[in-house]
Amino acid sequence: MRGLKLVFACFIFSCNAAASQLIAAASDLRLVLPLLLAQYQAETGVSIQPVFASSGKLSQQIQHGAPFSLFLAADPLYTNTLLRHCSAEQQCQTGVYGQGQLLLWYHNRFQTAEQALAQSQHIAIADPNHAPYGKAALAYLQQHQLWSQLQAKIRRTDNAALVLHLLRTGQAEVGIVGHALLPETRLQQLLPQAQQQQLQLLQQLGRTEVVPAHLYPPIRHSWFYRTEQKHPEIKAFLDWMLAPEQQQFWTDAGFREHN
Amino acid sequence: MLYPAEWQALLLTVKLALLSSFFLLLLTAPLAWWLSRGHSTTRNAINALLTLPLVLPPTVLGFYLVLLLSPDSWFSQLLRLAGIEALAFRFEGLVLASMLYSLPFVVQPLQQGFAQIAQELLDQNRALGANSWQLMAQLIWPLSRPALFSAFILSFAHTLGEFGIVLMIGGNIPGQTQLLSMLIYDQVESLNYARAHLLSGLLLLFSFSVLFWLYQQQRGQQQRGQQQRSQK
Repeated sequence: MRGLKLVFACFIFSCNAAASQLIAAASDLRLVLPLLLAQYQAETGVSIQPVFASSGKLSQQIQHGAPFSLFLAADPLYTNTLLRHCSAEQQCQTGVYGQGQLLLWYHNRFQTAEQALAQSQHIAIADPNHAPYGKAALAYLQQHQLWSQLQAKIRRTDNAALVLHLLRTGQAEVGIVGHALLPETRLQQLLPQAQQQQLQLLQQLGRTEVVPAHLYPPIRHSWFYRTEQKHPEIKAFLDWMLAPEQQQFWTDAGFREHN
Repeated sequence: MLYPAEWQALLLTVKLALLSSFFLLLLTAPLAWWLSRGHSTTRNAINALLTLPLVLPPTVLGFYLVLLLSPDSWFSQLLRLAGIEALAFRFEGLVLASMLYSLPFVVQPLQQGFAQIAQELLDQNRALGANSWQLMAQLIWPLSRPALFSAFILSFAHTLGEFGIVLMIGGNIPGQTQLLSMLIYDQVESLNYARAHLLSGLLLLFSFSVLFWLYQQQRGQQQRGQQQRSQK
């Protein structure tokens, strides 16, 4: 019993894990960003941990003191808001690094996307209030001729990644997600086995179509960086991920116009 | 079987549950004792205040805590004067949030346990010459142990299952504020159902084992207490 108490005491009063390098990222990057970070670690030996949530939530967290030096958002609205709240000594910077695309997934019992939209019972999208992909998906559905019918079928998820969960578990027969959540085969093959299997199952269950870009407002992915926390590794990672060598990665992840 | 990040989340969860339950017991026991010693409007108002976390959605408490623990809040500025960093998105902030959220789970059983100790019994012992320290060590402590145990069990179990409020306050930061419940949510979002199953099963088994062990201990204590009373 004394030994057990000692173990408890050691573990309770031990320090938490050393603060690792953290970046905050929009949920549509949930599958592909870990691949990019693994590649960066392989090249430089620097380990960076991502924390995912919707862009709106992460932006709120950063405003309330969350310790992220780099934030990859899916809408410059959020990074610009953070920039406005920055003090001079924080030397904040922002920029746009690519444009995301919407994918429409529908169950293969429907012949076409139009039929799926018209006949499905539920359409899953991320919450437009704080998830940019949800906002774009809603804008796309709102200009559809069947909007009055579609409106009642919409099921909102907390963030973009959870739309896949609803589709995979059969809770919605149609879903609108970011392309990065259903990336090109080359990237899919690099994912952990369990994720690959789930994505393959989704592909067997349904079909995907790229939503024409003119049907929704552009989803501009932006970054926000602040030097306050003195993490040179994070700035080095930002420069590395924006370099032309990573262009192919972003293209495979479904991004356009990466400069 | 578990990856380092999963061990980290598991240990952090247990650590949070142990620490918040321990501090809660320590801080609320005197208050629960006072509340158990009678009825008055003040006591009723305090009781109502302490029971609020039971009826309010976690988001209400989470929202106010986010504002309170933010770096720019008056509370954080006071802490800064004392040389302490703002508590938002830190483990210490999670301990504070868990303590607030689990308040009624500790105060209620303590209060009920203390109320069982009759005032006449205390008065008789005091009349026989027992001082406050003797009353505490020889009467109140042994009689209160089952209630303290119940309060600890409830607080510990409640903290293990926390999700909403800690997500709002902690931000799901690996190694610092990412608890097992958040990691499970993360795995579901990542379509890692196998890991989500494993971690959920683990949490289920762990919670059951801890509760079972604590209840067994409690039963043993009650039996020992009964034996002692019958010997006297």
